[in-house]
Amino acid sequence: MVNAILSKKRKLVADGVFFAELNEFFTRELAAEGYAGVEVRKTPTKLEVIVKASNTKDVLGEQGRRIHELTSLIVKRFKLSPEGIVIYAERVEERGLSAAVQAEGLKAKLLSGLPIRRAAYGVLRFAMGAGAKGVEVVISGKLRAARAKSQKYADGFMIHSGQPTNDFIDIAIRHVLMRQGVLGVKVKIMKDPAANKRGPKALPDAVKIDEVKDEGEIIRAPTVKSHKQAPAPAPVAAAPAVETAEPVAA
Amino acid sequence: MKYIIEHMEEGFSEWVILEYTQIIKEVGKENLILSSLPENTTEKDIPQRLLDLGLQWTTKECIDVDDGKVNKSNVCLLDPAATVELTPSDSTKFEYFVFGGILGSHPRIDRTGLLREKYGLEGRRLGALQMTTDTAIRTTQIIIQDQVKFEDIKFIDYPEIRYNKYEATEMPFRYVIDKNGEPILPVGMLDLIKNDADQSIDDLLLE
Repeated sequence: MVNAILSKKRKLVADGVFFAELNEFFTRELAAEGYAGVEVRKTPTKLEVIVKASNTKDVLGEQGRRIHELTSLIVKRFKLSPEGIVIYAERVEERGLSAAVQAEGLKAKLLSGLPIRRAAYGVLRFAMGAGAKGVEVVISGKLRAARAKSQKYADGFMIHSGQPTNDFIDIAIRHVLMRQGVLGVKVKIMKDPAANKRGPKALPDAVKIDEVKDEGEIIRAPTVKSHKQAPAPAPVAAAPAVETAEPVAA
Repeated sequence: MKYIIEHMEEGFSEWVILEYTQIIKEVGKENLILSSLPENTTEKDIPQRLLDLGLQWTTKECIDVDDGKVNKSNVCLLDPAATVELTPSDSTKFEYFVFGGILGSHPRIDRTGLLREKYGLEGRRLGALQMTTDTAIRTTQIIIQDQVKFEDIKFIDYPEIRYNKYEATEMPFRYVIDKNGEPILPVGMLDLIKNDADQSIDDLLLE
């Protein structure tokens, strides 16, 4: 990457561009290995690139050959130092909840000749079976001898707007390129908020109402404790007593 | 008032047959002419259903049909890329209306442009959104025959047709609504759209 001193703003933008290019590269390169995403971490000594995929064995290759090739490609492209970067492959915990994996799988199924309805229902079933709260699959395009249309398949519960979409929803879009044109495949998966590891564990408008507890416990009626200071009676009473005493003494 | 459809698709697919059937039922078989069919088309190439309804067809081009009664001044090409909208007053000017028999793509790839360049006919638009051929003819009929302005016609844009709890299909076109508020589609079209989901890539590669 750029070694010159960048202002903070430019550095953040450059990091974002780096992430975007890495993501795109791995999407194209590791499509067959069930690529699901990257994470870039900067440690003092190295730049760690963690690739999430369903088939980590093929990402590593024989004796780490594939991952070695990928590393050298990235080093050459971004002009990094070979010791300064390391790529790790991590297995995706739940394939059914990754939109990228499902979209790629759907694309492969369509290209291999599966009818659209069967392929879409397969994705719906797999995702709901993996514990998703909701799934939506949209396949758009013009089939031969028909008009352009958008076929939508949905199951479960889905939200479309607001901050919860950033927390709970995973979207992936893939293009199925064919001779006569392109089919667009969109997969949207909403994961169960309760199973969220980082961040909120429920939708913002979810209200939990507790059950009534009947233990027979006696609850005292609320009382009011007054904190107002009563006027000190002693000095006031003493003064006139002293005064009246004085003339008598004199 | 006659409607001419320039046939621009290969052969007659189920979709095309259903649309043309609906058109013949609505405008009457004397008022519809299918033109520019391939040179060597014979009766056998036309689907039986359309022949039974009395479809008039010809291999001639749209400007040569009807024994020369058609000339450039009384023909209007319905073109989504035209700049002037169709109005009821155009009924005095035009007698023949030409449509592209195209199964449209979304986004629109201007196949009607081929007709525009070929014939240089005067163009009129039916609003900004793409319509199916039968909807376009229906709209033209409402404007010209019933003398209703385009803005007064009730349309639904991009209707979503729900088949069951899990499945729906969105049609990226503009449709005329009937009195129940539902889009007017050719008879049998809903089943056809539903069955399109059973197509696979093998159906697409078959030429």
